[in-house]
Amino acid sequence: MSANYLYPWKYSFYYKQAVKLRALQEELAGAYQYQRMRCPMHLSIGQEHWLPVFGSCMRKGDRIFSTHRSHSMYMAVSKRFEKLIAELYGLKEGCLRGKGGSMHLKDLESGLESSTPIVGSSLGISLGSALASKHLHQDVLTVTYFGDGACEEGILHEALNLASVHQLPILFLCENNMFSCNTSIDKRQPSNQMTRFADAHCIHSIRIEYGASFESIHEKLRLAIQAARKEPIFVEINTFRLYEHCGHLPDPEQGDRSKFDYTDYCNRDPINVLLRTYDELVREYKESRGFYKSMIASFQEAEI
Amino acid sequence: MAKNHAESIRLAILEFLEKKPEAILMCEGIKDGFYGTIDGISNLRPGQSVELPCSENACVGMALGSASYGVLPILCFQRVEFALLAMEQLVNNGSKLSYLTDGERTNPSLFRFVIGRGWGQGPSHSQSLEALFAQIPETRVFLPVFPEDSDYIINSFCDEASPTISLEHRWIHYAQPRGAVTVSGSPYVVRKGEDCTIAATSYNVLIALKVADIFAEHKVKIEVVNQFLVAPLNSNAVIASTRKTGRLLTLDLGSKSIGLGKALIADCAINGVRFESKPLSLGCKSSFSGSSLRLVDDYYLTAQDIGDALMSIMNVYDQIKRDAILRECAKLDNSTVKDVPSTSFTGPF
Repeated sequence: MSANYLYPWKYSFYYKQAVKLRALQEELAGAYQYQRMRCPMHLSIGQEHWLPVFGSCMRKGDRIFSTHRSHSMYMAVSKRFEKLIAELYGLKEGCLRGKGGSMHLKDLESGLESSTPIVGSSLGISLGSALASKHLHQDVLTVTYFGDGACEEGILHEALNLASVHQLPILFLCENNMFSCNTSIDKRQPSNQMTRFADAHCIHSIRIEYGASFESIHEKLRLAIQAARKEPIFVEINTFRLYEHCGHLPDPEQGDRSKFDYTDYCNRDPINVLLRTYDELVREYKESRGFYKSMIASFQEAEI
Repeated sequence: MAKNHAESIRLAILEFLEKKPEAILMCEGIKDGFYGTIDGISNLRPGQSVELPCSENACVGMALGSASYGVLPILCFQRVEFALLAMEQLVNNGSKLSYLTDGERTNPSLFRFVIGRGWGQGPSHSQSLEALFAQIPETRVFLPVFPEDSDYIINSFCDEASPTISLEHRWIHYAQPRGAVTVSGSPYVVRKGEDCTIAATSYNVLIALKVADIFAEHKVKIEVVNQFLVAPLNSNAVIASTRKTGRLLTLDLGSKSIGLGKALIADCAINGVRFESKPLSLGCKSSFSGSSLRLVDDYYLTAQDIGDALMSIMNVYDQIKRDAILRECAKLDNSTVKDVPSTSFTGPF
């Protein structure tokens, strides 16, 4: 199957946004080495292609709760990247005025309500957001975003159970990147299908395979989000992280990760495929690298 | 007869729900009435009553989160030990959202956790653990004893940015109103005296009042402070009282090690209170409460323990007086079977 067929130009709006997010993150990685961003940083390089699609399905007033890898949700719904960068530098202009750093990103105006770096912890308070919208009769969707690691926490099962029993308007958005830090899912769970937890709690689930077309991602997310405004829905999206769990370097072989897999996924990475396929996106990517480089440089010398 | 503490809590919660439609009551076994403290409320206010599964951590998270979005939740757990399963949400999310958003997202919520005692509750249903909860930053922790205390707690939590935890000792549910006190959220004097201060919480306040009666018959006037607010620490009443009496005995409901009593004594010292004799601190007497009736006195403070400590602080060496006081304390301790609440302790006062 050719890339043009899998990724037709019809969805170029998303492609352009996705390559910009890659450019932003690579520039952040480049600047991180100077140790002026004095906080642990969890990049989403390799996992960003679906974020613009997800962001386009959100309505004003919807509320999102994230894990430690909070750059993802921030990039999905907020355009205020200066505030993100300032937060990484610990500046008072940051989205949390320097109180939270990379792992606690919020943008209340855009709907990113909270990011909690303790695995699974944001699931609890996100239920409260959903309960509030139901009790107060508000048409508000709550999205709780977490990874495959959170599926090993007791609170996931408690949260699915509560959401199901009370039919809360909430989307459980599970991004399965197959690694908890650098430990493979094979060593942590008897199956790599996270949707099985939704089945156990009588919650409808949708699975988005690695490398799915943007059309398919859009259709599945759109339907899931529409349904989750009325009842709990579980979405599993499969991705692969190309950079370190925490840090600014590519991660081909730490822990259980193998160079073979890394090379394979680098090759299949949706954004790499897009950049190989469309010259216009390469131009967009290069321009964005330059744009974000200057943006980050403007904070580099700030008093921290 | 005045309403007892349980009936008074029920009325306060019902009125709160009627007054505030955004409020909700959450409880495991909501129809069972939670020791009479919410009897029938789920029938009277069904739209504001939420039954909970045994998912304590997510339930506490749900309550905390709902409070950030306009709901005023009151959540009840049958025993405080179940709340240990929810410490993750209480500590990791309790008041941190408010800190991270500079107060744009707050968590006005009330958590009612019951401390068990009696009828063989044993080591897993009788801990109070107030010092543990008191360590959660910016979280109010109460150990109420009188109905007036709970009235204040139920009607004030909604004005706070942070969660409120009320640790309700099972036996204080039978307490009658103290009367003639205006509870404003600060610890207060419940019995005036000039000779020695007792700072106590929860059920220990009731024992302290009885012991104070015994000492009064021997011309020793004990002042009793109801330190019902555990956190944030407010030692003003104890400092003022100890400045007057020069003597202080603290009674922790849980462990006295690194507990409230020691913190109060330290605050007195830091604030330059001059002690006439060295202060003493009592708390539960062993690590765990055994289930058997035979083991009750190994763990719980008795009137005799308190009487003995007071005489040590007061330098009462007259053997005849000592024997008389201890005899009366023993009579009080033995006035009822020790694993059920004594009606003589609960008022009217």
